[in-house]
Amino acid sequence: MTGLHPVYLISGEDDAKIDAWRARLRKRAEEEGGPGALETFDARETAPDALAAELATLTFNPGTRYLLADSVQSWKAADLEPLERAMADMSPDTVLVLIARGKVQARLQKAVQKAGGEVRAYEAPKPWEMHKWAIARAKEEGLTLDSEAAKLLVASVGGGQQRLSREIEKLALAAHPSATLSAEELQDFTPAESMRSAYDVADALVAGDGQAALAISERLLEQDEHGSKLMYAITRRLRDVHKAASLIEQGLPEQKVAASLGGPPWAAKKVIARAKGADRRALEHAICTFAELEIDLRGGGTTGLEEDTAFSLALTKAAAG
Amino acid sequence: MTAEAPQLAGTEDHPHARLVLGSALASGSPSHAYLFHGPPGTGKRTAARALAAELLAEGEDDADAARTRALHGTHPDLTWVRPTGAHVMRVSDVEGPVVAAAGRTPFESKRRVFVLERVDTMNDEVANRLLKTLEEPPAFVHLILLTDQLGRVLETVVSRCQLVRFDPLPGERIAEMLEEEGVESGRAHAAARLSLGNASRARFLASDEGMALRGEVERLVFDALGAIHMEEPWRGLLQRAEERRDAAESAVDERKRERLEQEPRGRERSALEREFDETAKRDGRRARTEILELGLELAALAFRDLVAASSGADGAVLATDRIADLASAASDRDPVRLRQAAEACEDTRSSLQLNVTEELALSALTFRLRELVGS
Repeated sequence: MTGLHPVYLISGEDDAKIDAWRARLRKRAEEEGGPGALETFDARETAPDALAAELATLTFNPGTRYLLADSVQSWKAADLEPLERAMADMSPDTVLVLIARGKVQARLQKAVQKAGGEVRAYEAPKPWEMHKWAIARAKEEGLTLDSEAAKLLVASVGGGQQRLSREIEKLALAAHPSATLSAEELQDFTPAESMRSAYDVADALVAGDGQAALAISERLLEQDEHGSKLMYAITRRLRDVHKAASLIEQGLPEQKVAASLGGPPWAAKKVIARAKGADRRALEHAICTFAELEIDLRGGGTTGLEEDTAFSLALTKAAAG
Repeated sequence: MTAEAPQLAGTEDHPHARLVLGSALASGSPSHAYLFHGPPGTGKRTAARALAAELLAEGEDDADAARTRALHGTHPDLTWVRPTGAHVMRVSDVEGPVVAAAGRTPFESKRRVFVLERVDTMNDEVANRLLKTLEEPPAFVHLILLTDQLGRVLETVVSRCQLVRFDPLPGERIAEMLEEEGVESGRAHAAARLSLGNASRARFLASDEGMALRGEVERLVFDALGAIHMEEPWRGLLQRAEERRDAAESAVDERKRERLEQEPRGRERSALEREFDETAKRDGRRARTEILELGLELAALAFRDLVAASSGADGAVLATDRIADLASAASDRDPVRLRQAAEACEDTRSSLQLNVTEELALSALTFRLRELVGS
């Protein structure tokens, strides 16, 4: 026996955990039976009765047989009967793993439990819980992120678990031997180029350094970022800096300016620092340029340019002041 | 159908509509497809309901009951379609409810009537699904299409319908109606002129909520002129739009609560609940968009008024209750720049239909206006 249950039903939206499950299973199967030992099926192409027939097939494999069926959420409950029978009568040296994205049929869950199997659901963290997920993921890499640092990381790279996971791996390597990162350290952490964010593009624009803005944005575009996505973060930063500059000009104390900006104090401090030397007219010109870009990207313009090209041109125009 | 056809409600101020529809009913051979066009608030919906009621009542044993049910929207042979997208009609809005349903015989009347609102939001794909039904419907089917913007309705749709025109209501007529409803004269006249012939808009503008919206628009305009300074002069406009959305959602929630009280637990109740939730979201989104668009249109009109005031053409001013303020704000202003400011407001209003980021679009508008007309 393998010490495993005969059947597993893995479901949910947490791609990272589900992918980890799949990888572990493949590794174990290949360690025991060599390359290709994991028999995989796509449930969208393999009906439950076909999988049941596979389970009943005799093999010459002397060890444990591992089968993986992905996307079983596509099966209809009414078609499950042959598989239910097959699972109830499985060979003792067979492990079947069923993976479902999202919700899974109650009938399939019952059948798995009846066959002595295990049902595990991995729900994806909600957007507001993502920073907690990032903290936990960083811990797996031996890195301690405080809450603000995790929030900053999520804000910088977005809420996609795969992307976050990659960034955390890079950060853990880059921060070594340090095992802890605060928000400020993370913000100043430059070795990992991917940590360059749309905010850096905005900051370069604020500083009047158009060349730097273009260079950073080119690198971001090379990393599969898209102009439309970058544009939102850039304009948000530009508007924050403009607001801060305007309030400072009106003689408001920095504390009040920070309060009116909202967000974490360190972020407000950074915005205020940028605002002090900012040219408000140039900022307004840049904001108007990006507003025009958005109209263009949403089909209201006349340029008909491809997204990233339109973005780069708008950036050049915004930088020209 | 009798030779003495009833005068349809909603056509009182529209001789063309009265003539076309009256004769069709009197002759007993109404067209298979009408397209009612004209500014909003001119009675198209009321007239469509009245026409549907007459069509469905014809030949019925109890014509009055059939008419009443049609007028209340509960007649099974009357289908009323509103676009489910905030700015577009979806294929699913017409495929099942109209195209498929038109092939089925009426439930109890001799006819089936389909009313489709805002057909200007139909794109090619939707129009293509509908064209066959529109061109050769079964003899018992009548379609009534409504639009506020005839120019935006696809030609393939227009050419298959009989057009019925609803003219803008004269400002004096709308002001009269408002005054009859108890609105103070000065407010009634300004609201009527600013409504550009749209009675329902005039009613809104004359309300306290409408006056509050006008106040927000004035702040945006006077900030641009440099008469006041606000960090985000558009913020109030967004807040009004949010309030309007909340009110629209609450109205649907109230209807949902009343309706669900009569519904036993089960699948149908859940489906009904979902349907109400979707309607609430849709109505809320639309109400919000309408307020934002109206706000920007009012801003454009305010700049237009300033052009009139700066040229000494006080008689052309629409916001008649604000003439003194406008005249003082308009002095020494360049009419060309004021006109460009009006165009900038209109451009931003159009861009909202592309679902742009509202805060970004309004920030950009503020900067442009300040640059154009700031002191």
